[in-house]
Amino acid sequence: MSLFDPSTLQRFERFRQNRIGWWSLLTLVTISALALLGPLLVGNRPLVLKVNGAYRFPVFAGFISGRELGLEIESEPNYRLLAEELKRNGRGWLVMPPVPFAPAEVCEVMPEVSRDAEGRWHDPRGTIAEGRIFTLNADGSRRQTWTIIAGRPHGDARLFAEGIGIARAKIADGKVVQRAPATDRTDWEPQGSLRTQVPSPCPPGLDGHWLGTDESGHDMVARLFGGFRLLLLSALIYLPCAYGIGLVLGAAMGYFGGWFDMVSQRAMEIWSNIPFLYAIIFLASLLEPTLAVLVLILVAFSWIGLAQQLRASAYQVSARDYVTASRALGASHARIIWSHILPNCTTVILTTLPFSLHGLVFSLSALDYLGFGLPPTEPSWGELLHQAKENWAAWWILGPTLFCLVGTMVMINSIGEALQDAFDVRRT
Amino acid sequence: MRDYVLRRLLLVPLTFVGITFVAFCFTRFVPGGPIEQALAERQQADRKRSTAARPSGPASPEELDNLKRRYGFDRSLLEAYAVWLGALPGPADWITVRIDKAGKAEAEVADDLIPGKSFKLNISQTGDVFTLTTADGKPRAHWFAAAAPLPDDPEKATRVLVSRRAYAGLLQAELGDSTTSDKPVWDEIKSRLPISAWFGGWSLLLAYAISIPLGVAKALKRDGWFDRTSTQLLFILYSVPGFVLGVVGLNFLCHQLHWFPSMGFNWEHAFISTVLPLSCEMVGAFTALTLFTRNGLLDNLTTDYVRTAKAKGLSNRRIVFVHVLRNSLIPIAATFGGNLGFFLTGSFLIEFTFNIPGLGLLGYDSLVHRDYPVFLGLLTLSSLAMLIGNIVSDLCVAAVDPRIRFDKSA
Repeated sequence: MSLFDPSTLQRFERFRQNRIGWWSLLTLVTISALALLGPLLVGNRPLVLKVNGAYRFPVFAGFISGRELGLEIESEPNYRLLAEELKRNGRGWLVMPPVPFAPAEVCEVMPEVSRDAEGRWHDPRGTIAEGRIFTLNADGSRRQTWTIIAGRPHGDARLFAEGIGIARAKIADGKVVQRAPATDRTDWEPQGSLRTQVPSPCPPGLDGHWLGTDESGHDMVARLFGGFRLLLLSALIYLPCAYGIGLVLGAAMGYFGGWFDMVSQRAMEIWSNIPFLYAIIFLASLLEPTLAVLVLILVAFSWIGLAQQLRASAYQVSARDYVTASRALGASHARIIWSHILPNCTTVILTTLPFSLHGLVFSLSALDYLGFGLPPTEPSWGELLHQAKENWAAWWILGPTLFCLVGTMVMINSIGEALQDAFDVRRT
Repeated sequence: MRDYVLRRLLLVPLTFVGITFVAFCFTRFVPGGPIEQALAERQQADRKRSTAARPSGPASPEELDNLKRRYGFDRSLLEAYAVWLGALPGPADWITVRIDKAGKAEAEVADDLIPGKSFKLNISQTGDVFTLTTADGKPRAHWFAAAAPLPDDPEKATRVLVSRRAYAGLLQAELGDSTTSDKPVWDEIKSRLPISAWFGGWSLLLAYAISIPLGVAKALKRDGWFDRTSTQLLFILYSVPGFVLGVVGLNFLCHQLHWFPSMGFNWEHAFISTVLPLSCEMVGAFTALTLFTRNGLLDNLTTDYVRTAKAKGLSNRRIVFVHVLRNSLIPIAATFGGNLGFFLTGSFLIEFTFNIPGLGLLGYDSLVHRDYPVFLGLLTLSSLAMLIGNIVSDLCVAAVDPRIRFDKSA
């Protein structure tokens, strides 16, 4: 059974005729390819940065200290703020990825504020009822803050240097009534590039967050993208492992039969009767739940189903005459399994593949949803669902997550159905 | 058939011991077990108390030993498992005392014959032998005394463990006490069982009552608009995990529209608090069952016996509902036994989402709080249900399909 023999081509043609399945496959492949681009599409480091005449590529170079870029900070600058500053002072420019937030980055949503004709301060949502407006340093720390009540400065105002307050004033009805130190001559009239902070989760459309932010201030687009990347990565670990084990054991059991088959069957019965979700939660609490660990635990429980299916098909093949014939010709067990049993299992592998993926996405999301999955810093759709449950007013968390999860599931299942149609023996 | 069922039944205890033993091993080796939990609780209690109160500190060797004994960690893995199973007698009731200089000690223990009463036991030491007597000087059945030395014991006096040995395990239908609530595990399970059975029963009934007729209807009007649209709809439903649907429903129908209560379950408003969780619970199984019925029916409609029946002049109705339906129910019967487990153990994710106090949520809580007796009790129940369910499946298949003889194939 070579890759391009007529029957394979015929099946491929039939797969393509299922339009939903075919387009699902193309879409999933495209999204996966985009996901591989990673920080080039979604990230908080610029693709290209030109400061003082020198070009840099932080997305590849990684950490660049603020001092290297001529700023007065040691830490990494907040490039989104740096972009505005560079635009103002003309020292250079930078190009951010299309989504300028990293999946694991906790963003403070700080939309710019403006003043209307009556002197009231507004953010994009309306007059600020109670909050603060402030100016920022390049690293994102506050430079000067004012308390705003009912749109007007009222109460505390502070000036900071390196995070420490160096001057403060009390304002009542727009006038400075008290200042400390008393001799301070700072201008306490709000000016410069002023912003305010919106608490998380923040609704869509503010400060470049197209879909808003989640509970802890992660950008939703970046989070969903990161979640898909994690799913992709886990599939890349999961599928080879689960199919490798299932294939080898299943083929061996079906081919050798006898006591080996008996003992393995009993062991598998015991193992598969241990409630999957209980056991995985147990093991995840024992081991540090990194993605690899979690996926390997999933493998440990899901190879059984595959092995059972492959065992059945290996069992059928091993009873065929051509297997007996090649054994009579002196072919070794390994050779028979490799050249007769395994090729005949490809149908089973291909048709079960989408359903394994369905199971993987379901399990990972369910675990994260229950809070037994990845640590909360990792982006995951299950964790977003959990937030949506706790935070029911934040529709912008539930909606996009639901769309992504169900969309992915529908596409995977459509591919599965198309594959099953294409490989349906009754139609060949 | 009888032989086959007997053989399968004989394998059940073997597999059951395998399952529970593997799970028991988990409980022994997973960190953060009941002892660590108890110690952490102690520390927290100490921190909360004012500094003037009793000085805190790490647990003394004596307290640590008591904790170990309480949770059965003083025994080896195999021994502890045998005690849990009820194959070995374990200390059902115990107390530790110190022998005074005269080689004597007293212990006040709960009476095992008269509930709610206690009685005194006198312990006397001669050499390495301890003798136990009641107040009237006679020995008491089932009560034993043994030296229980501690490592680095600050006190000189010999520590003696006075215990009543009894079989109290699974074989005696005892599952021990919950380590979080101190209630018997059986009581915990019994108090949750009605809710899980309520949901399980309804979802079982509705799933079969809706999806089989629906599948038949779809197969009879094959490729019509109803068949095609409902297949697409079912397909999308299948792609939505039940708990996701739960979150969506909770969000819109409970919180926004206030059609349903948002949390928990209430027998007084059983109907209204059942609708939403039940629909979420059924989504997946429902789709699979409907498509199973439909495809099975379609496969069978093209077979020779249908042609024969038609040639014989049987009515279409009779062919479909008597001959074809029975044959296409075989694969469905093969999965019927699996429902038994579901029926008993409830749906973990749905109960978590809707905060329904069923067995699934009990299992979740027992895992979070490392309540091993409850966890093992639930595991016992669910694995028994699964093992028996497998046999029930086989019986169902045999009942629907007289051609199947397990005696020959097995």
